[in-house]
Amino acid sequence: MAKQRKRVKEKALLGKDRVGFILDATYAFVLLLSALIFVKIIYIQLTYKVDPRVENLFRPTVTKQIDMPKRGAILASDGKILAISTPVYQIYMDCAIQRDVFRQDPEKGGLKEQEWRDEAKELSKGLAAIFQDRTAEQYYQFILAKREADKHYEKIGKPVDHATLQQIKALPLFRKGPNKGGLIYKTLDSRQYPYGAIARRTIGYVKDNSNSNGNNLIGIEGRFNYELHGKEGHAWLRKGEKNNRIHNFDSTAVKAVDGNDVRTTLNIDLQDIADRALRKNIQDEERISGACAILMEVETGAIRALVNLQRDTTVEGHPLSERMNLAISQIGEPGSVFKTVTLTSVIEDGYVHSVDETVPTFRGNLPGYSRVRTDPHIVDWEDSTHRKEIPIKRGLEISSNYVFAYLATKYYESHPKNFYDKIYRYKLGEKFDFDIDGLGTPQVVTPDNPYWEKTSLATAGYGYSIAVTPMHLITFYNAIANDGKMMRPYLVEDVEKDGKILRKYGPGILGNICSKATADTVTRALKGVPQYGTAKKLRRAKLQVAGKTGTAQVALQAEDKPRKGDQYHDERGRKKNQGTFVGFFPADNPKYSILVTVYSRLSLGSFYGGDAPAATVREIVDAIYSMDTTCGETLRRDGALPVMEVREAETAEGKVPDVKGFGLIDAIYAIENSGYRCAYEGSGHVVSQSPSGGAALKNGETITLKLK
Amino acid sequence: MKEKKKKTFMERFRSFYKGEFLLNIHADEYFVHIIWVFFLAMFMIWAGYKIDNSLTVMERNRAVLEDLEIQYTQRKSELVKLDRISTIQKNLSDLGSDLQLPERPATVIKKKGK
Repeated sequence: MAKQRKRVKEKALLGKDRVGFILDATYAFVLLLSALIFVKIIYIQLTYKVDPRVENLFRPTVTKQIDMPKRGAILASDGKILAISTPVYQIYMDCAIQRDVFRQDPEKGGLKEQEWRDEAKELSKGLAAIFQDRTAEQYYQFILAKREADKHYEKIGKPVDHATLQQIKALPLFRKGPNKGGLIYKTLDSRQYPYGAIARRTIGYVKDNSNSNGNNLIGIEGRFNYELHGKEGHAWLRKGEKNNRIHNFDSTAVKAVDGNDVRTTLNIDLQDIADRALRKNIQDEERISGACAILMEVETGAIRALVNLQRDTTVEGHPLSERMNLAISQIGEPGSVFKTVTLTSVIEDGYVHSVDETVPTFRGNLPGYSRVRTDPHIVDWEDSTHRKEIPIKRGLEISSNYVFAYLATKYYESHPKNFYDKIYRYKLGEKFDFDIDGLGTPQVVTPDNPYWEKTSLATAGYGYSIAVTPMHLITFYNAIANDGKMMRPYLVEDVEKDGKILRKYGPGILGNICSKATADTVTRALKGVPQYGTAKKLRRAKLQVAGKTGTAQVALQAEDKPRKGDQYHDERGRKKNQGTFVGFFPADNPKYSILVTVYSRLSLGSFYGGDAPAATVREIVDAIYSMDTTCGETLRRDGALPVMEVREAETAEGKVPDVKGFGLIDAIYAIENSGYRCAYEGSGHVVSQSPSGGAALKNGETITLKLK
Repeated sequence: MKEKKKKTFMERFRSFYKGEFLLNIHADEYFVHIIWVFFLAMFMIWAGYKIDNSLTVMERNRAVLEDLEIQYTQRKSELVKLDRISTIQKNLSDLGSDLQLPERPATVIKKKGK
């Protein structure tokens, strides 16, 4: 009985153990498996390296290639290229190429290595000649040292263009290709500016701008980047039969869309002339810190030249370069060039009918405005003429501050808003739409401005208490030249692709600022400034110029440490000047308006608009005159000109050919073909020959020609 | 009834190698079609090879075209540099020429009545 009970108990225990054993075994197995997986993960992560043959099998056979679009070009008005994209190439060398292969060959390895080194010596000579940054020996030693150090990617020289790359590819060793010669090159996108620094600030930058302050996209490059850039595409490449990469047309591919071209209004010849003239006139004057010149077409407002030069004091010799777009961004009190604005206003409002009208002089002291300085020009005028009044025209010619302060205060003192409304109407108080970023916003001290003083209106009359950019000023003068019609200055003519215009920009009108009669009257006064006034340098210009000089003192910034209570001078009495000439030519039928402004650094001297600016204008005007056929004489063709006939020399055996009227080459050809010799004197066309045409002459005899 | 002799492995393999299984499934009835499929397969392989070759040539030509285009652009850029008035004047001066910009503009001859 006890035995039976024990058996049952054992059976029960055995049954329980079996289930438990299976569970324990399963648990142990899973635990072991987890441990193995964990160890394997650690192993894979830290030490395992896939067999390259296996790895290759898992690599996708098709690879994606991003196609970069070709950036559009920036063109001058006549289609000349101002900016274009083309790659450059950085050269690298695998100096240790085939070194290991040669080492593994105990028989011929040494010989092959020597041959390689001999070729490397020849290669060094070529590299030295092309890059000129090291001697041939230095290059050779460099290559050998890097070969010994087992270097596979060594930079050689600076990036080169395509033509130079072809020369490099043809050098000894390199001509064997990348696998045997070790030539490696990397293609870099590069923007070429064929005219170099000329108009560079206007054309702009897309990268590599050393004066960028972090923003590379400036000028036309920046503003029209969305047009120029194009759109990236992609293609899928697969391995071809010959182990090369070919397009996989089974996959989706998106073609890159090249950027559009932007045609500007710039005329590169005029730009070159203006750039050269401005450089010439400010180059040697160290006290001039910068200058700008604008040449604008009167009828359309198209800017044909825009020069911005600034002295780079960080470089030895302080060269002039295009660093800031002064013409559009530099806001400053314009000084006397603003007198034309006052004159236009008083004529347009009917207060003055003729520039020959006079104003009383009061020894140059403005009645009721003791704080406005006495005008020494008026004192001189009174002393020399013994007259107590001065014609307005003469006031403009001698650039009298008094005359224009008098006009402004006399006619607008009771309602100054009318004067300032005029300024806004002339677009001198606001920023208008311009083709590149950075156009400055003028500052006008109006009666409701906290800085308004009693003298503000008087000083505004001659160009203070108001600050504008050179672009605003020339836009106003251009409107006077254009019979009162103000054109929007513009730089971009259109956007095109392969010569086809996609979007037209072109001229735009900002409004009519005055009547034709007013514009004519003002023009008459402006003509007198070069003839009898402050712009004497333009008196003998080849085209008559109408315009105005202006010399303004620049309000000093805090960094210039202005004197207390005098914002125009520092403690040492030094000041900054802004000298301007702005006008248009030919005065009677204006085609271009022009502005030149120079900016001085802190100095004791003055820089007048009648000096460097007027001299620059003179050079530009004279150059344009000689290039512009419309400025030349016109001969009217009254009689019918004989039509030139094409004829051949009649040749007959033993007879002299008639070559009268022939050019020398044709005459010699005809004579020698007939078996004669030729002698000649003079140049031009054959006017006589001896013997004459048709005469009998033996073969080999000489025919003498006279050319004229 | 004669008992069917069981084939050895080698015999089975030989039979398979000779293609006897095709006769067993009566594939000979479709012999022409089999040949045709074979021909089509060969043609596909050949066409694929030729297409790859053409694409290789195309890629090579594309690279040459790109190269020429770059060369053209760079040459054009070099010529444009020479076109500048200042450069022309400098080159003339370097060559010892006295040639300058004209002092006067060209005279224009106009037809009668225009």
